[in-house]
Amino acid sequence: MRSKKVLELAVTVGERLTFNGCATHQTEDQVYKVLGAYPFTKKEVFISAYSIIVTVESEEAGLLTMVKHFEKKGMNQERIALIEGVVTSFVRGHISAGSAIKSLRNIANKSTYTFPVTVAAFAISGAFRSFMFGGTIYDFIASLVVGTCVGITLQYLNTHKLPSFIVTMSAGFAVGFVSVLLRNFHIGTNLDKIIIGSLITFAPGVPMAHAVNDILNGEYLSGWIRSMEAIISGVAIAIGIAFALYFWAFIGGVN
Amino acid sequence: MLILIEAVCSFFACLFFAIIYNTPKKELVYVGLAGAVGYAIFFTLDRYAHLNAAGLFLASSTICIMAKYFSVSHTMPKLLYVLPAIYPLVPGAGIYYAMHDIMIGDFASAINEGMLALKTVGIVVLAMILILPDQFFKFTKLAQKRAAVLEEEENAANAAADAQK
Repeated sequence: MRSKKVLELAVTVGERLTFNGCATHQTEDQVYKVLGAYPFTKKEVFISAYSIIVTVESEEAGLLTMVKHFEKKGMNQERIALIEGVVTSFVRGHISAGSAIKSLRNIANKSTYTFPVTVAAFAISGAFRSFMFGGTIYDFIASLVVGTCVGITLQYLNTHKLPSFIVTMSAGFAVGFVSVLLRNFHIGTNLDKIIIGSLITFAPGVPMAHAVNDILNGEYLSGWIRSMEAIISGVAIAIGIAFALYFWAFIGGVN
Repeated sequence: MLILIEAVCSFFACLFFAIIYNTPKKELVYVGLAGAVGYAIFFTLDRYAHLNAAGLFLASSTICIMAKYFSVSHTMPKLLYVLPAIYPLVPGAGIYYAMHDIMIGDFASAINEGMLALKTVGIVVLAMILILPDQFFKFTKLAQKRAAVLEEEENAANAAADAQK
């Protein structure tokens, strides 16, 4: 039945968009666009950060509701753009609901950049950020090395099913450990500039801005959930770096 | 001169951060451009005029206007351009310092840093919610031109597909 297919497409669109890190306001707009393609008499959408509930009423199928809940989240802007493209072509009538769901499944496995490119991106953006904070050229080079280790740790641990707290804590530990290691070999000059520059790439600065964006747009629930995530990831980074520094103080000493 | 160096560093930092956020390859340069211009404005106003809050607001507004322009002319969502471009402005370090101070037990500094970080993020997002929605201003003429271009492309593709059949 067509109304069931459209409902399933709407819920899948909402789930995929939020899974890839879209803002809640935007996701709701896209879901309402999909639901607008069929003449439902009533439609209600509720999206929070980890779940989506859609209820529709139509003449052929009565009152239907569908819930989807999902676990982890990432940040993938290209998939968001592709999903919005699928929604636009469905709304214009170019593709049917079934083939739209199939293309959403194909998009879900698409990865834009390979593993080495992402690791290099972590390294280089952290290095430039260290430089912008007032570091020297030696801090830049040290940040490149630290950033590479962080990138490898994060990418590797994200493929396994670990809670994100532990992944972020391990990344913080990697930053602290490698920074002090390089400092002991007299490669970098300012230890704190190297640490700050390298951890800003995965520190919750931009996720916090995303959370406050949701709150100021009126979506208090998902905004609060996202800001809790940001605060907890900040705590995880601080714990990881503290582990590393105490570990080095225990072994030998910080120069 | 220092402003130029900082702008170039910010261009590369935002560009590689956009790779972490998996933005499409064609948009990377535009994201870096928005980040460079935004951070240059903030740096000038913060370092030379000592206007921290006004600098943040103006820098974020510029980034949002550029993001709206790029999103209309490339048909991409707006947040794709905004989130990597505000990366130099938002305080990632502030939140880390706040949690670090809580762990040491220095709660006064923790609240200090935390509130400062929250204030910075709040100003940046305030500019975002004033400018990003389509209610206040929209690049209407550009949107119409872009819609016309896309329709032409679609008609050409349909004509090619029909000719193949």
